[in-house]
Amino acid sequence: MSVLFAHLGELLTGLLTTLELAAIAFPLALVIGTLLGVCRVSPIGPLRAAAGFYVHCLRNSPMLLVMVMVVFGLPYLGATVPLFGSVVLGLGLYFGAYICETVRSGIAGVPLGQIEAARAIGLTFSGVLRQVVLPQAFRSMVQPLGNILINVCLGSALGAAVGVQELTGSARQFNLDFAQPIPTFIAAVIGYLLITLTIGQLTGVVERKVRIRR
Amino acid sequence: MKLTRMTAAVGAVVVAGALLAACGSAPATAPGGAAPKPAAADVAKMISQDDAVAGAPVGQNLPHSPMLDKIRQRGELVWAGSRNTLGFSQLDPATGKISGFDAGIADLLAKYLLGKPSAKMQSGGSDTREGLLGNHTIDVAIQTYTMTPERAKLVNFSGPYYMAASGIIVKSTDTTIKTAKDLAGKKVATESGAAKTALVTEVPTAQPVLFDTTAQCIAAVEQGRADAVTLNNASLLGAIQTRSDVKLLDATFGSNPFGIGEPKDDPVFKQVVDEFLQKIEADGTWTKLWQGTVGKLLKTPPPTPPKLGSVPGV
Repeated sequence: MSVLFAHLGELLTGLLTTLELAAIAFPLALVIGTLLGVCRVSPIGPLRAAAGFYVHCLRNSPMLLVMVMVVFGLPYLGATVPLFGSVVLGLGLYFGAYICETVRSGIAGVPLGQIEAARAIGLTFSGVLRQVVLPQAFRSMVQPLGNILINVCLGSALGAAVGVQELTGSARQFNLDFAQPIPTFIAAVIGYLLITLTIGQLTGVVERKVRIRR
Repeated sequence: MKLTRMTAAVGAVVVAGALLAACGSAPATAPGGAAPKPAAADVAKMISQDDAVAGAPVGQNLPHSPMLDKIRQRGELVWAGSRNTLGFSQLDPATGKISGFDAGIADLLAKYLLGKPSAKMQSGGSDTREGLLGNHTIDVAIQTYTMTPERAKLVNFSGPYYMAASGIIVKSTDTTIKTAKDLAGKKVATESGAAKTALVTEVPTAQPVLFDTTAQCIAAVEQGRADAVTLNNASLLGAIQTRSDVKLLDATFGSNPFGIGEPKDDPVFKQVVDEFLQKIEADGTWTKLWQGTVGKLLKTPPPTPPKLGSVPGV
């Protein structure tokens, strides 16, 4: 146990890497997911089909497969992204598909009357989206987006499999060096709990602030 | 809408299949049009511990202890091993058979204890071995398990039964890296645990990049993510058989003593396993096993079996 406290720094460095991965990957997933979501409700058929195809592909693959594809598959297409960037990209691409579906359901929650009214005052498709639909959709999406952010944090553990030493990776390494499996993994679990409980609390606060009372 | 969803789903399956096909058909020929290398499956077919197991000794008048009684009652030995370490412990998914030096040691130990080589492999990571031994989920760990004083605080070790040196793989075109010294300041793909420890002990300034499998480490070098791979040289030998764009250097470094891990709470069981190792090393079974497994990859004369208890952590 004392050896664990003496080397807590290594685990904290791993925790920091986990936070960095999530902090960059989640906004990326948000951008990808929103674009896809808009494509899936757009009036243009091929765009709808393409976005649907992407979501089906990604949501029906294990995340490790996506990660391995980005890290070891992309170089075959001539694009070698550094490992940290690859993990961020993998997380962004994968959770983008989930966020797309969240955005879609958020959009579906906006009353049809509002969309008709927005069309009636002469707004274009993008005007309707940007000024009427998406702001309301996002306000109703806080809770599911919080869940996805939690999943991004936990999913970043796969970075350990492809050479990025985040919290899980540093815990594994520490355990192999000092053979202290139980305390080490309990410490890692506490690290993840701190992250996810904080996100859960924040999500609740934000959600209450921006909730739409209908 | 229904139609597009169906099309998307079917399309996804088709694309996934195409990707798989593309992965499966990686070119096996060298850029210079050299002879194609054998597929990994063909190399794996050469490796078998059956000859050694057939002529192996059975323990006579073995004592009673909680562990030994449990194993007898169960009728099989449960061991922690790997599925994908060619030469040591490689699973053939078609037959379900595990072959290699470690798998052979497991079969031999099962035969020694039970009279028949019925050993069941539990595949875990290298993270969980001490935990699994501690709570008796497994009887022994035979998994390129490097003996260290830290680990010996938690588990008993019998061994070493194999001394592994770290080997180095670089791109075929690389001329800058010739020995371990040249890895200083370079990015080196390796696996966490013994291999990484050996690397940073030997070359403190090397930057280890950790992957999960030998294949991923080598892909990292092929794709320029790392300058070299270092792992125990028998696993590297297995991997090098099937590739021509990377080469294995003659230089090795460090030495990892592999031991059989046992639960801490049964000293009698450890003694029995010690006697088992002494017996197979003395009667030539060890050498026969080496020839049927690692020796198929190394192509050197068989080494002298390591002396039991000759390293710290026993």
